[in-house]
Amino acid sequence: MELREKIRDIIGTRLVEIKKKDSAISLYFENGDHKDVFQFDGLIFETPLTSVNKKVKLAEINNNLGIKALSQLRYENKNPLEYKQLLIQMENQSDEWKTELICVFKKIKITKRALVHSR
Amino acid sequence: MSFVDKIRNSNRLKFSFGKSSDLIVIFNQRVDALSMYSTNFGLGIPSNLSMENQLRGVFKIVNEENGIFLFNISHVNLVRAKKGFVNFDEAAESNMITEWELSLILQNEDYLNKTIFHNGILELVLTQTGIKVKWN
Repeated sequence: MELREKIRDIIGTRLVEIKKKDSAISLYFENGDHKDVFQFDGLIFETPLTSVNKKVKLAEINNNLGIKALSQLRYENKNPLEYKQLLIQMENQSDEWKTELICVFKKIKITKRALVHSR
Repeated sequence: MSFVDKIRNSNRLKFSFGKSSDLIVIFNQRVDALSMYSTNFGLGIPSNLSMENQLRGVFKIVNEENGIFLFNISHVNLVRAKKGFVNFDEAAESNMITEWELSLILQNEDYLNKTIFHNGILELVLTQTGIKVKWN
């Protein structure tokens, strides 16, 4: 499956956790019977309203970064041309306040895990 | 002559704004416009300035050079841009820097007179009630 398809697969799932240690970032999405885990080394920008426990409305990858990511990478003396940007928008955002994540990485590892439900 | 040809044939300094996308980068190349993707915005703006001051520098230089602001309004929240922001940080935190750039243009007659709104294919006109295509 292509990367774009794997990323589109999280639309409709719920973001349940964001883990960040230095530049190592993991995002966990659930949709009832499975969990998608996105792991990458890079940057993450989150709007002030929390994205956790909200459903994903849109997820798209872009070879060209936004100005926030461009500025941060240039500040860190990194080459923005080597990075991709993933935009994740959550449901129920308003005109006033967006609820979204911008993720920036060179490579991303996506794994799908089945959820085991206890009886 | 197409909109893209008309812009490309202009000898004026051109600076392009819009939401980041692969299409806007192609547009910038086709019309030979500077943008945030150009090193130091293509205008020699020091990268040690704050993001707000770098962008204000873009507006100042392009305006002084009698350049053109090309503004792709696709996916831009026009209502929010017209309402404006308390400050740059409010826009930056909400991932609305493009809306902040548009609000700056709408508040400055000099900038507005030098701006061409478009969707990458057609020239557009912002009206009180919305957007319409500008036919020749």
